[in-house]
Amino acid sequence: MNAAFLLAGRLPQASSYAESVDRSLLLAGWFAAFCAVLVAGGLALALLGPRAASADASLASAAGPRRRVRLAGAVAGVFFAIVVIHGAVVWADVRTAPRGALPIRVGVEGGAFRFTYPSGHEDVALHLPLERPVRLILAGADEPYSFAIPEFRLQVTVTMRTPAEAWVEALVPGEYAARSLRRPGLALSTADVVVHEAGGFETWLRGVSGPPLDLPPVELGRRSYEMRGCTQCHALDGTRLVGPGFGAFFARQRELADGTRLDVTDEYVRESVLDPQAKVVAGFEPVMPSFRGRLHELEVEGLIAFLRSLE
Amino acid sequence: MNDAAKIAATPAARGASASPGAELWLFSVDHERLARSWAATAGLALVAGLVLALALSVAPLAEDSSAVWSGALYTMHGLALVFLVVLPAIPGVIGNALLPRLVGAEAMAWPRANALGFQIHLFGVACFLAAFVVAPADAGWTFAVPYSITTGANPSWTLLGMVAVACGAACSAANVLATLAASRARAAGGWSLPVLAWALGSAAVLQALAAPVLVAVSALLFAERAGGSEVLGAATAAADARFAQAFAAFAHPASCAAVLAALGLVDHLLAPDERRGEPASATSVHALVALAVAAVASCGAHAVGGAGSPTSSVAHGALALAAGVPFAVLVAGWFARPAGAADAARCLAAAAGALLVFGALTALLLVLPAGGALLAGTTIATVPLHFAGTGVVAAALAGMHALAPRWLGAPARGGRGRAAAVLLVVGALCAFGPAIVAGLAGAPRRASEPRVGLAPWIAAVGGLTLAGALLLAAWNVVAAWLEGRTREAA
Repeated sequence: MNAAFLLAGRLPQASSYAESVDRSLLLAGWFAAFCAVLVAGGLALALLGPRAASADASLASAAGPRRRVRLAGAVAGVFFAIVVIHGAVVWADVRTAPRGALPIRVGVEGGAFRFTYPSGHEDVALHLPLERPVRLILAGADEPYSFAIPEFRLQVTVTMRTPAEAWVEALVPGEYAARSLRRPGLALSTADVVVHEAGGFETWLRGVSGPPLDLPPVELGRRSYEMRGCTQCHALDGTRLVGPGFGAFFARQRELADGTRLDVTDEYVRESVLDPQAKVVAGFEPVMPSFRGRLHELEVEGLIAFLRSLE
Repeated sequence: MNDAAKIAATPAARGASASPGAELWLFSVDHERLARSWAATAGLALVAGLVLALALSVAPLAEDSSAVWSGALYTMHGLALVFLVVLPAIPGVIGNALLPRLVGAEAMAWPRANALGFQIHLFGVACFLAAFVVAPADAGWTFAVPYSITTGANPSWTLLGMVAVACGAACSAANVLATLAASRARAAGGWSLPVLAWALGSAAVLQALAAPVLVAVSALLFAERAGGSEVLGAATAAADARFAQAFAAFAHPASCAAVLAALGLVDHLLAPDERRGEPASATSVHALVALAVAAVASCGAHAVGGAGSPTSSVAHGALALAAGVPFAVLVAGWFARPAGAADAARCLAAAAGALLVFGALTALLLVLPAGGALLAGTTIATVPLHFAGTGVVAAALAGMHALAPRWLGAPARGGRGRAAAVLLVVGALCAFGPAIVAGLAGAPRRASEPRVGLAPWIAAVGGLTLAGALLLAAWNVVAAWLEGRTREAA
């Protein structure tokens, strides 16, 4: 049964352990309610129950209440033990990541979260596969923070510069929000969380990730050219598409939109990838997006090496 | 032995004329007069704190309430109620009025130190007043670093007030311990004290341990702001963790001291008249000591493990769970005897007991494995302190109701007291209940998020009811005092 549903209004159970955490919370809630009723009843009896006629009678008549208290104490003790043992079992499950869980690193930069995936791709949103355990490795930061996704019943606190770990297996595709509960006077950081449909995560990761970085530079550049979407606008044989072609790229001068001419150099290529609006070739629209922060430095060098190899 | 059979303390025996300035209440060394002075200062602070609480209850209903949660209003409410009401109410008022009679003494052991404790406390109150007028602090009553180092709201007056209040509490605590030690010396081996005396003694030990920590923490923060002591190392994670560790080393034993004293007082008041003041059972004494030890060990876990580290969290949770056992034993002791009359004092004591138990139960939700980790940092985290604080204040008011006939010269009215008791429980449940529900849904503590739905309305009505109930009970005491004066004049 969903404790949050009962008490807090339909908070979905979107992770594999959400239901057991809710059950543990519900059990604790029932225990608290049981104790509260017990104490309220005891207090009512203490005020309105039978009174001793005299001091001597008061001492003699204490046996009845004592028996009741012992019985109630025994029942409460057994209930308490069940709550603690159940909670400990769930806690052990929540703390221990399954083997083979996909590692995703979580960092904080300038008050915002950054997620680094196994491919090396960095993103401001947390993307999760469906029904596959993910190990979140939270980096330490200059300022303590916590990372929480209520729908997953996930909350981790990071203190000092010591990394922390958590794991989660998302069960319900959709969009959620991760948030950081921080000290007063500081902003509350949030990040988008996307749980993909079955197989969607792998497709997304392939789409946003580049090739393996340990390839030889020319091969790395060629794979980047193919995987990063360059093919849509730049042909290798000099054919004019949305952007200029790459045939004999370094062999000629470029005329820019402002009328100036320049030699194609490594620096020019680098600038065109990272800051494409700085120098726009004459006759083309300034529509190329920046790849700053989306390409690894080795990929940029690989692209330069690949373009040189076309000469 | 019952209260009436204890020594009949005359004004002369109490040291009422022991000092030339005895006629002036500020310089009085008479413990009963000091009890009234503590009651007056705590009562005024209670009114101020409740007005601020009402503002906080109503503020979320406004369209733009973003500044409230981390602002001066929140901080001043916490400071007034924690430092000027919850911590000193029972040791200051009930300790002074009742402890000598409980241990068969004529007066407190060190009357001048007792008076000095109140005078220093009064200086602290003046500093808080100056702070509220000149420069209200806005970093919360726990002065979270690094915000409290960098904020433009200068907390110097508040820190000075905290240091004075801590020193006053240390004086009072030392006096309670000296009074108990003197009674032990008089008893010559046959020492048997009631639960309330044991509770006040355990609370005094915790207060004495906590006070120097608060002084050190305040001095550290003051030095950091004034000149950059580099001990905390502003705006770093280490600063935050170190300060939180140090503050927890004060706050945990200090709040536990207030709860211990309240538990003892509720036990004392719920007993039938003929059994009030009878010697405590070994079980109750062991439970009180175990609870005090758990409080000290809990702050030790913070200090050793580092605030918020996984190790300290586990140790802290285990200790808190372990502390639940002696707490339950003490509560069970309330019911293992026949009922007493349902007068105003007992009804208020029952309400106080219920609130203390609700506080413990919500604290349990926070430390239980699995669920606890999820709820830490949500709005539920604020609930145990509020339930416990309200319970402590209610217990102190119940004690004043019980003492009224002898202490104030006239009995407090039963109907008003009983109505206040019922409203206290209902108001507290409505005021703090929505925070439990919101916390279960993951609502973060101290977040400037707009509140929607019925919850803020329920909380606001609950806050109003709670404030009304506390003020009604306080007025009942004041009315008894006024009637006593009229009778005395007649």
